[in-house]
Amino acid sequence: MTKRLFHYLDVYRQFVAASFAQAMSFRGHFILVAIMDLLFYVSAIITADILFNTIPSMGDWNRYHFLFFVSFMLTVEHLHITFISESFWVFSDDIKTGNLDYKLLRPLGTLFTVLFSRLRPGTLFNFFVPWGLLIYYGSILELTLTKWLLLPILVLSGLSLLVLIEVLICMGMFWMIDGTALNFVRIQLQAVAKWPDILYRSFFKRLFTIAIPILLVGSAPVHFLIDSSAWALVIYMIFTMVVLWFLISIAWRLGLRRYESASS
Amino acid sequence: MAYKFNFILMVIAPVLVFYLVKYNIWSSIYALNDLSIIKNYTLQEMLNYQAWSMVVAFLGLAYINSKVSEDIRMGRISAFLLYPFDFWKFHTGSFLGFQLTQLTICLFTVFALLMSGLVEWASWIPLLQGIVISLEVGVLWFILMFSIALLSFWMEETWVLRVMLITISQFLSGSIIPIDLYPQWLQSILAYTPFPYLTFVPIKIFMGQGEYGFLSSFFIILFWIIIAFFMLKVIWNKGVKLYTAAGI
Repeated sequence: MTKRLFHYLDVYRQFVAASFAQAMSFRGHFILVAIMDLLFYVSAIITADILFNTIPSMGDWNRYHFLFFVSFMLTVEHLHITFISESFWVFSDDIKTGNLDYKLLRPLGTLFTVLFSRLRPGTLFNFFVPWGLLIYYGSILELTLTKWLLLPILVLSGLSLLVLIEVLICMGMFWMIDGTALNFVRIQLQAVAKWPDILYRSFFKRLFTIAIPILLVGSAPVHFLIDSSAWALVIYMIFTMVVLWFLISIAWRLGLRRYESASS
Repeated sequence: MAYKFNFILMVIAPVLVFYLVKYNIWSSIYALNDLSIIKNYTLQEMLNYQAWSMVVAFLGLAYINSKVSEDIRMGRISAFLLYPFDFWKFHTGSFLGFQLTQLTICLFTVFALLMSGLVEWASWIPLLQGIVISLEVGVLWFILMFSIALLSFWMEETWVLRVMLITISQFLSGSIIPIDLYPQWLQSILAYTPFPYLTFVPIKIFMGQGEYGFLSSFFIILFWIIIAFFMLKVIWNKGVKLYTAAGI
């Protein structure tokens, strides 16, 4: 088991090295990607700030609760964009062109290769912005030591849940051949998660918490960090991750049966 | 069938997101704070604003010209020497075809919004004026996107610049929050830029709000189109001198 884990880590190190080598050969592009992300972070925070200049509160949440939530989602998104998001577009292309054949033949878990082979190094260097904002707003909310320690774990949990939901959606690419629209749906769902669950009305709140649990990505951890009594949400989040993993394993098998290699 | 479903999903998704996200968010913001008005916007006016924002986005800001940069990068411009139409005519034709599809989607969306009662409207005149202004914004957006794509003469990838423009214009054009909710100093600066004319002004025209006259807005956007077109020609003239293709 340990040997297998080290083997995967070694392969991942190669993926990182390849992505960096590719990124560094286009330095201008590398810098522009970093600037693009900075613009995105700044616009998200200023939008939230402008919104709170016009309203006194958002239910029980004040300006800092909301900005903490926004920072949490930016942190999840930063990790997502850096380590995962490129892979979904490649996966769509792989199915369409038949390149998935090569990944299926490799002596590695295919999902691992599909999800982790592409990184965006330009984004990686902006890590201090979302994490800095998260720490800043967290300190305003006076998080306890336990919560500070749990914060990175909760960010990673939010990221994992987001990725699991996206992977399940992307399994539909096996049936749709062209995955552009599913990637588009995936991005639209991210837009749903960018706002806290307190802003969704009963039906949609249930829809996006139970049927498509996208609201749990940020809302469950942030509710818990703000108020410890909301721990059940985090447990529910972990439960949905297990269910999603189970559903993905079924969908993956069905999808591979449906897959027609374009090159064969 | 797979591609038709793909197309339908791409058309329906923004509408659903509008309804699910913006409708919920703004309804809840008003309800949670027990507010009847936020800086001159009642809840219905805010929902109208967000609905027209979607319509403007369909007509004005939907075109993404990734094909131009690909043609330059892959050296496919050379092939246009053999075609009975040139590079410009081909991409302008693609844009016009795209706009025709968007206009159909837009008319369907407007019809659905009005029939469902989600949006209030005054009369046909602001509706027609709004559509004309949005189509004009579409021309400006096409030129801006084309200019960015032409930077492929110098750069390997231009999608980053495209995303930057989209991010900046979403924020500064009022497509998320109406510009009149922004701080006064920012509103004053924005008045000298084309950004409010990309979303905020067309929405106000759709809403029939008199302070943004149709004709004056039309000519201001035309002014920005002329400037953008001049910039586009300069980029093209300089860039095409750098163009080389293998096998020529």
